[in-house]
Amino acid sequence: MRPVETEKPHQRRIALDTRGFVRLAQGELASGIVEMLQAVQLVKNQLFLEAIRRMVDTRGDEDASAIINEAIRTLTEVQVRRPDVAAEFLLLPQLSSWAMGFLSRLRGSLGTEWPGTSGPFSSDLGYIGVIAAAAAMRARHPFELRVPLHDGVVSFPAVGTARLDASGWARAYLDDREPVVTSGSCTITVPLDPDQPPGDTNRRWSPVRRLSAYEDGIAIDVGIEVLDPFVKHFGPLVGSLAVNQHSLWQGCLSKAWQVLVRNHRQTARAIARGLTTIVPLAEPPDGRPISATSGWAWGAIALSTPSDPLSLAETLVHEFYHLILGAVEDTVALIAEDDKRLYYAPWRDDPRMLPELLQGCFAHLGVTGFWRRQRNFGPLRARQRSNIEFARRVTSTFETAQTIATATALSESGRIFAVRMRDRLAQWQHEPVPKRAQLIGAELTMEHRVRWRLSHVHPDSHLVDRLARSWLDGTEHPPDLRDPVAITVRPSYQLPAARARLLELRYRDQTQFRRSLYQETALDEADIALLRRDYATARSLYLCRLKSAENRDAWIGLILIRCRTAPPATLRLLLDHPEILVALERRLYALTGVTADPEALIEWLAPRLAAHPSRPLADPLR
Amino acid sequence: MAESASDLAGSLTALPGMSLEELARVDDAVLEEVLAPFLKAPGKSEDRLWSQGGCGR
Repeated sequence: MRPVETEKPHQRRIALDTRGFVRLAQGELASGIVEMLQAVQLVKNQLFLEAIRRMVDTRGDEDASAIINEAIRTLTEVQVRRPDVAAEFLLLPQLSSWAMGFLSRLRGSLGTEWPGTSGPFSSDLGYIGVIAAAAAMRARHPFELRVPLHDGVVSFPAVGTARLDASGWARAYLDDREPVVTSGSCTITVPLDPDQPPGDTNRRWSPVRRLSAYEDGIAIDVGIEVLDPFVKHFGPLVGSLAVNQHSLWQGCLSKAWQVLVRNHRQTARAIARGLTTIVPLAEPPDGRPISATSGWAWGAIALSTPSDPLSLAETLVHEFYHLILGAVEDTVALIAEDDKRLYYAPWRDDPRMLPELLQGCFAHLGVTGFWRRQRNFGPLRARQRSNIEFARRVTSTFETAQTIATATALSESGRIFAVRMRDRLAQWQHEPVPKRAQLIGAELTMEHRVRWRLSHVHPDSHLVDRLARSWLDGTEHPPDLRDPVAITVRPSYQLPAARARLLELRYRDQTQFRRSLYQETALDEADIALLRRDYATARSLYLCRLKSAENRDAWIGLILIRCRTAPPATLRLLLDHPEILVALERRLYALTGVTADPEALIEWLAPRLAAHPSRPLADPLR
Repeated sequence: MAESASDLAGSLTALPGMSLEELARVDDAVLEEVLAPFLKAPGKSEDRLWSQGGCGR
């Protein structure tokens, strides 16, 4: 792919060519795409730096002006002498996060939650001196800069951390020998030997730990960032990585890299080019893995300790697609106007807005493609898992792409992008999947859809009233299901996801599944029967729960069981309108004080909704 | 289809390949013009943070 550039000074453009844009929308990380997007990120970060410099200069604060100008002067000198090193540091996610935060602070356009926006002005500004010093150390270019200390520590991105046990500012410099960091009372000589073994650190200096792997001609080498204040917004940082934890990560990456290079070579090559930083996150209390990326931090992926190499490979693909689309958004406007509506995302428990939906859809296009290919590799059990992972995503991601493609807020580029995503997923939908994988995938998809709708979708009360009157007096009050305000989405509460977690574990890790089945306190006997595929027992127990009290969670279980054998009209009710069913049951209880038979309600309501060909769901809900 | 994706979305000026030294000589108005779309555009949230897992999976 070649970048398109015009010739006029100051009007030169760099942009994806059409072919590259379309291939990207189809999920292909073609050769050259990362380099092109990196070029844009480099431009962006330099622009941010220059804008910060000018805005600081206009404040008339000589000290602040000196901080930013000396740092940029050092970076400029490094750029002249070692443009490769300068580019490496100017592209660091720490720099872009800081620059975005600090520029927004100067412009008054961001809240104080963002790192670097709420500390003392000079100290926050001084972070650019830390990055410039790190770049000069790496380039072995003579420099002298002031660097701010936080709790006695200064962490040089991609180089290492110095502990000076002092406060305020330190001085970093390099003369004709080695880099030095000094607070006056404490001086540290920075070892820059790249061959220094990881264990060879002293109490005051810790080099940045790295993770690396090599497979069949493609190498990956990333820094581990655990301290930097400008990656804190990703989630709960681990703070430090013990030697045994580092070995665990390294072992997992080596195996994940084998999978990626051998089976997903094009994607692996792109990741190797674009990924510079891993941010380990602390595992959340519920034990579910977390991961994150930011559109302001190109090159960084944050994630909790991976459970296995295949999951790490999947997470790297997922998050890297986010990084790619974030960088694309810096190049091409995909959304032309604000859209305040909330959408269903089959991978999220909460409603999402269009930009996040688009991001998630592209990431899941990448993940679906990953599992699609992965189905061809590994032993039978691994292929079975890959088939399930593919099956559970391909249709729901297609439906999401379809929804996005019809969104009026898209720009013309955005529409082309969404249509190409949708078309690629449409092709994949027709690929054969073993029946068992289809069923398991469908069960997961249905569980999520029903749980999401019962959590967030609220039918119009007039609609529910009409249905209740019909049920009680035997007359027909046809509901106007075409009413676009019949249903509203509210990001209210979320029903528990314990059942969903166990459904996942059941096909991913049988040992863990069996252990969790009786330890998970959020599950009751009905759920356990369902998860053990004892559907008759589960049905009886869910019906008992529904007779005793309002229980949306029990409704989900019952609906999942009914979906297994339901005819199309009933299936439509159960999957498209479960919230109407549950609201009707509650309204009847409020009117009569008696709980209606849930299965009788399903049988009664299904043909009434099926008689109305127009969906009751206001676009964009599906 | 237009020649490039950015043609579809409107012209994007990005000063490619310019060094820090060259940028320091760019006119204020040009800098602001080039900077603006990076900072604020429809669909661009403040944090641009995409996370999965835990409660939000």
